[in-house]
Amino acid sequence: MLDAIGIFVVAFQLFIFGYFIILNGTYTIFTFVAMRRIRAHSATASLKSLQDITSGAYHKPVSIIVPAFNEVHTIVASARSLLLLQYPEFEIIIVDDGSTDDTFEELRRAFQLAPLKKPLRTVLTHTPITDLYMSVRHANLFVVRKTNGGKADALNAGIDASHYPLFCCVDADSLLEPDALLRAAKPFVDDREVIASGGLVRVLNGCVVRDGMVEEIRAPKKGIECIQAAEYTRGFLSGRMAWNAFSSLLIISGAFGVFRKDLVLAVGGYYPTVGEDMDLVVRLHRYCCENNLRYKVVFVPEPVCWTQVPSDLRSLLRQRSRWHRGLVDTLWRNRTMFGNPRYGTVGLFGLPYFALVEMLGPAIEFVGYLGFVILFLLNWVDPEFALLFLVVAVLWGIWINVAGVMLDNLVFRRYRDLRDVLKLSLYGSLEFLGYRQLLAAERLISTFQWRSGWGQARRQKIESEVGEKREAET
Amino acid sequence: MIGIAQIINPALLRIILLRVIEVMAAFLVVLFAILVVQKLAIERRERHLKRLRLDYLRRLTPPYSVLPPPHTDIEFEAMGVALADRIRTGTSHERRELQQIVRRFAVDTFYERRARGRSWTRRIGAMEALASFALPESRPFVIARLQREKDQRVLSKAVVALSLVAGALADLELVTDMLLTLGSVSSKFNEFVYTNCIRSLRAADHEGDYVQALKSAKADEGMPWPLKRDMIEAAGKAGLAAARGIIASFYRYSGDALMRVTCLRALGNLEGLGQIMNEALMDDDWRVRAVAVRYGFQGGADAMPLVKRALRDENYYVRLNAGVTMMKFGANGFQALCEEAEGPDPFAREIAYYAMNAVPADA
Repeated sequence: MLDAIGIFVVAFQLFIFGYFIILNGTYTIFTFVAMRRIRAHSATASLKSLQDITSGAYHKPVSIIVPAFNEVHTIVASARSLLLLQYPEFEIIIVDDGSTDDTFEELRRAFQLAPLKKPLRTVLTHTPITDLYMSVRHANLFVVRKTNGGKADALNAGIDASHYPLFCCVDADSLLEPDALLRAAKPFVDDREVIASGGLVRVLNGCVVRDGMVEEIRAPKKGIECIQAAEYTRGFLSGRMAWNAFSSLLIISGAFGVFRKDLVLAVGGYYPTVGEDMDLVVRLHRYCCENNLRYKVVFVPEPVCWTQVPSDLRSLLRQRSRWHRGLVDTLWRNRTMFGNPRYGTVGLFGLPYFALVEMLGPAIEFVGYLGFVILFLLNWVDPEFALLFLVVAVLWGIWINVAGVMLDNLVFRRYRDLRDVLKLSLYGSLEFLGYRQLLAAERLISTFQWRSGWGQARRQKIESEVGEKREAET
Repeated sequence: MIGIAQIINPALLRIILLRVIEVMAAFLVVLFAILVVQKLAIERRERHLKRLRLDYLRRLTPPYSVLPPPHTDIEFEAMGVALADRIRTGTSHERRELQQIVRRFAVDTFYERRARGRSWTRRIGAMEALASFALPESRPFVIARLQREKDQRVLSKAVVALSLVAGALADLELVTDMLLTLGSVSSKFNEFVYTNCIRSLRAADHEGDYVQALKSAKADEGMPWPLKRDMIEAAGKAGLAAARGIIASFYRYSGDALMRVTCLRALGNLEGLGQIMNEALMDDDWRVRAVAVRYGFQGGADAMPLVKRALRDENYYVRLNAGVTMMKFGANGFQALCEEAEGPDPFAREIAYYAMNAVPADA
């Protein structure tokens, strides 16, 4: 009996140890791969090459689609920031998804909207469009009003109302940097195989915003926001850059992504799920592989989209739960791609990684923490080994997060003040002391609730100092 | 005590873990050191470069004789960026004067040295700078680099550099050869390069060479259709009126709808649609009709009945473009739209209402 328990305990410890090595080893490899790729990318995406795009015929026009549901606090600032984008030819389509607050009234007041009786060609599935408006002040600003159908539904309506061959989806609570669209759309004119590109999403909390523009970049004030800022930096710069290198990028953030419209129409647009952004990218991979199309889905590190992150634990847990449910849903609906060589590196490498590490990771981690405590209490773990292992785990975790912040600072240098960089590094180091475990537990619970909906979001008003504004519930 | 320690020697495990901790701690210290050094030293260099660049930008105004010559790499770099900026935005006269400064201070030689360097990131930056100067004297160097360079990313910058100084048919042929070897560059990139070529050839009074290249492309069966389309598109964008004839012959010669669309767009830009307007408006492919109808007003009053008929086309885009074009026919067009707005066809009625309300007359 004791032998059986012994074998089980050894197997359990080896499994957890192996998982830990694979997880952190992957993150470390990703950091080094990202370092090389970002350096190469920075060399090719120079200021001169952007000037070429703005100066001549060397661009493709873009429709920016902004789905908005009860975004009264953020929508006008967001639209103003979009109007300031440096891009030769673009239109902004705000889709009011049946808001019950004053979102539309705010827009009407701010931009002098006039009704437009343009007949629309409906290709994608969405709830009926009730009205179409055009700004009298800005000829490239349109507002589509429709009955409520969710974010994916609103995006589909926006695509149907758009005119240009590329479209860019932007969250209503996000701000784009003036050259963000130029940088995100550049791969489409450089390389005919690019079908989708995503940019870097950074944390807006703590920054100084004026007239829809981020004027001063500062680290957030609250600890929970700082940890997320470090997490975003690592996730986007190391994670997505490395997936890019392995041609297996499965996520383009819903907050900011550019897509080729013809292909999105071919796959039927967005699917109504909480993870509609990942779902679309996976279906694009699938469609192109099944039709033997040469294609690229790319992550571009410089175009920056600033977004608000939750500043309280409840909203954060809700957001992560939603992300996890989206992930499970997408993986489940595309399960035929798993390990299937027909889908190239995405099928053989990307999806299995996401399933084993991202989807099942919380369960494995949680079992690991719980098992470790039980074994420790039963005196079945050598205390010295346990302590040394814990130190290795914490140091490795800190290294990965600090490397992410360093990577950002080596190439982009957004945070001008050394104190901000050190603050992010410090909070990044604290991620492994409670924060990660809490999120793992929430994600584990979400795994069993993946059919439920979006839930309510909390928004801060985008104004001068976002970090200091009191939260307003929508 | 049971667990991993049962299968691995506990002493060995302890030593391994201690070593790993030492390495991790050392790595962490190195990371923090890089972070701080980067913030304090490298960013200071960048600030210095920015200051120098702004200083050169301020001084790059006539008379240029008071400009101090650069000595260090950072001064050359700052002056190069400032000169590139000024050349890009200056008038043709200013551009010539600034190009002389590039030569006088050997800024081009500095970048040519860099363009031969070992690091591809440096080579790419240098090639881009040389392209910005658009010095005809750099042409032999750029051609030599094109023949030796192996890195595709640097090659694409070199192609752009050559397109900006192209002076003869041979340059155009080399550009085409390079575009064929460059893999997956987009049509927009090709179009951009050919547009540059046309402008450079025009400046050298060799515009006819581009028309000649289009004729050769038409005769060349081996040349991919997409590249031929990009050449035609560029001719339209750059306003190469001399190419109207050859583009019209491409239109008739091709059974490919996309080629017809390209030719229509180019001829539309060159205002040379006259002869083929009517057949384009009756084309079997809706994409051809949609483009033709956009330029329908170039066909004058004769084309108006066909455009009006397009209001009832089976395709949404053709109908929409027809509505917008009708407004460009002035009072007659407006009158025709009013009739359609009262007519029996619901599609034509809808489009007519939209065009009359949303499109300014003679838009």
